Amino acid sequence: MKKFSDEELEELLFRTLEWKGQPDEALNIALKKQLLEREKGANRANKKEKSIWWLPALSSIMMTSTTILCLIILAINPILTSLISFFLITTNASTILLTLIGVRKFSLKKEAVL
Amino acid sequence: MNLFSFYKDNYVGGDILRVDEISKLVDRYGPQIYGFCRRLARTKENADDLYQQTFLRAIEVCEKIDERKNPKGYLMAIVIRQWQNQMSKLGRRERIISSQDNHDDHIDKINNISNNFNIEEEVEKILLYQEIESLIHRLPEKLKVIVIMHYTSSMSIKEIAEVLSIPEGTVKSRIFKARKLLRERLEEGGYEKV
Repeated sequence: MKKFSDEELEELLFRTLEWKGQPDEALNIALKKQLLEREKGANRANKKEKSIWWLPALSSIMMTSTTILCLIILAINPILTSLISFFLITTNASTILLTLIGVRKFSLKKEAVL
Repeated sequence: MNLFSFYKDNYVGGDILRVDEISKLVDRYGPQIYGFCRRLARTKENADDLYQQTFLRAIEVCEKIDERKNPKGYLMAIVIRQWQNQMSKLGRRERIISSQDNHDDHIDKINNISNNFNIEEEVEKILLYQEIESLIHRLPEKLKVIVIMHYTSSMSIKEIAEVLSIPEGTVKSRIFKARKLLRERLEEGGYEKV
């Protein structure tokens, strides 16, 4: 029996496994149609989603402003008003900073959706 | 096989991959990807399904493929992942399929290659090709995938290593091992060169 040399086996494997055919045109058309449907579906889903990444920062600003305004109107002890205002403004700044970090580093815009 | 790292390294962030972009990939790499699916899945039905699933998955998993890198390798990685998923879903009975679909392919191949009408030699070649393909599909999965990538898609050792995230030496040794096993099994089966 004649044994296969490395080169002969190599050539046999190429000959056996080579593929010169093309995918059916109908298959490609069906595939592109499905891809289009997927894209349309994804776009529809994206449109329905509403990102609320801004909500924590905005509500914090509103609450802080309202509280400070109330303190000023009620004219409580000025030192106490200043201390409370300072605390609220610091908290507010932290909330805004955390929101910015969330947006830049953790894709908050994509994740915080309704 | 760490295919996810290959996904990660080969797409760039940004817009979701658009249909026209992926359609270009279908036109450009479709025949090679389809050939790979056909050899891996063996039957036309399974290959068609695998081919479609690959591109549909590509639009889902990536945001934008970097054309400068290796889109073919990226798609190959998806084919392998999809194939592994299909295999785990299918039972053992389903896996042992007839290779009848590919017999016609081999007959066409012989008719195209040979101009000399020697029926006996042609039949021997067909039988040999069928036997080799059958033996390849009986190889362990790790060896089989690499052999098909190398011989069907003409992928270099380096490209295969990148797609599978394994060292080039491992790819070489697996190809060597696969060839050795195939030679042994062919000789055991009494096949000789035509």
